[in-house]
Amino acid sequence: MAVDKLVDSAQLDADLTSVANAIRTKGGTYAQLAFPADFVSAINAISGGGGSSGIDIVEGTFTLATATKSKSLSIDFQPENFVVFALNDTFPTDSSWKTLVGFMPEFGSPWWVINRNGASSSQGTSRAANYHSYSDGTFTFSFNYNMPASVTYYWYAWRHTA
Amino acid sequence: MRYCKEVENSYILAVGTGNDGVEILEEEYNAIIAVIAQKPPRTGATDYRLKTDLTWEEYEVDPDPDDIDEAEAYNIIFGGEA
Repeated sequence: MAVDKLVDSAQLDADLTSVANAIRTKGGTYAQLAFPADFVSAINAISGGGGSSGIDIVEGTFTLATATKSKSLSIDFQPENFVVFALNDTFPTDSSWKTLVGFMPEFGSPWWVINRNGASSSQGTSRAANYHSYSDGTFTFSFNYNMPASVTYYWYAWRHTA
Repeated sequence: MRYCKEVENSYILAVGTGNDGVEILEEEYNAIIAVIAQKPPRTGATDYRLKTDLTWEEYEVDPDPDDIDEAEAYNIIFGGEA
């Protein structure tokens, strides 16, 4: 391999990351992509444009019998977007619903939030959700405090389809 | 709508709707929800877990220095002090 160009490696890394993020978003995955083979494979795995497009959505609820820090949900695909929120018993009279966790790939990485008094706390903030994983159709998320029992939690996950 | 419950050993961990756990009838779902709504509150290290016969069993919670009590967690979720 001939060395015939000078490259700003930081800029190159940033550019490759932006391309990888676009591929991950389009493909609905958070997988690490090694250049170039994984880029090529991931792009080839994305269906071509021009056809009909749609969205896959799964939703559900859960009510805990015992407080727990971690919950797994069955999602048959790697979601692009995911959100869990909770309602208390008096909803909607006092609008007491709160988003617990969520992520959106356009933020560049899985992004977690807990709304407190209308404010948002991002990943790494004390008592924020701090862990997620997806494998074999199961999505698991965890908090660093117990989610209370006797509360109904609602969740939605979705991805765009080609 | 698919109703489901999550069971581990002889305890019900959660009920819900969606693809999780074991499918149950709506009547069973409603019965379990009604029992969960009457869960005895945790006091100190003593909490209660729901047996599959829908009775509550007292047990000692493993100490966790980072844990917060249920009321504080509830306040975080519904707008209280963090």
